[in-house]
Amino acid sequence: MIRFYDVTKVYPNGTEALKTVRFRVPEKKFTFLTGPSGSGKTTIIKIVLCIEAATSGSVIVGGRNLAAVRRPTVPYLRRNIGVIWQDFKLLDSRTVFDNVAIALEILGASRKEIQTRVTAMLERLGLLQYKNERPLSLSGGEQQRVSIARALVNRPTILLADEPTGNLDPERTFDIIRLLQEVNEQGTTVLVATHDPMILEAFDYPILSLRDGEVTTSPRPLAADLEEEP
Amino acid sequence: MLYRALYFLREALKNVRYSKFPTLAAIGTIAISLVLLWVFALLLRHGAKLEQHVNQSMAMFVYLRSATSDAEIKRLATTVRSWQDVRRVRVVGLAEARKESRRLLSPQEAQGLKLSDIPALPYLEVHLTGKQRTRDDYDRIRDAVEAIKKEKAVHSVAYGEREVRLIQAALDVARFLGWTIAIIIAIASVYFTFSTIRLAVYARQEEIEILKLIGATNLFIRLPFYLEGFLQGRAGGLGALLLLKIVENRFLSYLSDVHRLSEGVALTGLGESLYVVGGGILLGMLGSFLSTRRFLRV
Repeated sequence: MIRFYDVTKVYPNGTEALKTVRFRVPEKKFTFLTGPSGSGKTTIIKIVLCIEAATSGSVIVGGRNLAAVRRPTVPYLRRNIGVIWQDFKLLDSRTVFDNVAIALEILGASRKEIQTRVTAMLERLGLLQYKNERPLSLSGGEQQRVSIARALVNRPTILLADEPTGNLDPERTFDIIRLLQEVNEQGTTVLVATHDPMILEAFDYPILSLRDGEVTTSPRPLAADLEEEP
Repeated sequence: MLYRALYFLREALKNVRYSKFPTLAAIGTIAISLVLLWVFALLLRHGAKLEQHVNQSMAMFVYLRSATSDAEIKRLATTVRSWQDVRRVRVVGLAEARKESRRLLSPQEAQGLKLSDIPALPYLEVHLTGKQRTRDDYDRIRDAVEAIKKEKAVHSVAYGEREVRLIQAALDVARFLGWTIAIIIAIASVYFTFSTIRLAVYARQEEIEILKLIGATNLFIRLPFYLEGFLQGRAGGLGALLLLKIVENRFLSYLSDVHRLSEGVALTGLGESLYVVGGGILLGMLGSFLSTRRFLRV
């Protein structure tokens, strides 16, 4: 579960990115986070990943209050959260296999385990034939699949996606969202930040809408379980 | 475990590939600084041995006037024996001093010469202890000598104070210059490693960011850079060892061929080799530690 309770974020330059934001993403649910550029979507993802800290309010991720998380333990928290970025953030110097394997390398998995789990994940995402290719030789959709494979290979409980389809054509876009849907059906909490109305219309999931750092009226009525109890 | 170690080694070698020339420069500087450090250490070690040898063989001669009575000689000998640095005092009377002087003459010079005609003075042969002396020790000896010179029975005092002080001064200068140069070069070698690793950090900045986002710990990210410093240091140490072997071969053959000296100065035994390689590793690791601390904020 992800819970924001009266969270405010003011950047050092004075920009107020979040203004007493309050919401809850229940466990094992799929949720869209939407709003125009600069509305605070990425700030929310950064706070969940401990890249940024909330200026005030409390943030609970997977039962842990992020204000109490000490810096050396941040990597261990991040290992339970898979992330997908708009620009994929793949390592161009490594093969597809190695890009996915790195998530297990940092956990100290054995060679055999890495081989088994990465191969299974690439097969699941239809990428096995590209395992020795470099990411740059793949299409945008394929690169995003590699990024998803890396995010999922260590079986995170939460999956965050920041504009995961921003660089893809409509066909690939729907492929990716369907893939995230499958991941959610297997029990992972999924939070997808997007401002693509096509996606929001096509998939019937709760929407958390932001504007100028505040939670606003949703294009679709907000599911009751997304609302934070007072 | 081995797989994990190989992973870090692969990453470290990847860093080296990103910055081949700076790596070579860093290895070269480490090697040169180690060679210089080693040669200076060796010179100082042998300089200290020379100083000790001079100290041990150091003698002082207190020449007495020819009319000095035996009782007076005995009293002066007792005074000198009471000095802190005196190991032994040999009393040489006038007759014995003349005999010694005659022994120094050639048979032709000594022919027909009576013992009483040979000019000589009775003296005290003072042997000092062989301990390492400081300037204060020499000052104390000089004060004692000045005091005994004032005795009526004392004609003059001779000892190699000036020579010893010159050796000491030369060693002091060599020590100061040697360590200064060696430390400057060691700092330069650390700086080269520091810069090389900084380049590797910059080259892999994006990769480091991604690793951080997917939960890599500080150690996981930094270890390849530490390993890179280790590899550079070890390569520098081995390079230094190679250079020292070349110097040793040339130097020893020079000593034996030109100066007919068979006792060489060993530069690189097994223990010394380990010190050289260990020193290289230390310099390399220090450079990488400082660089990751400064540029790799995770």
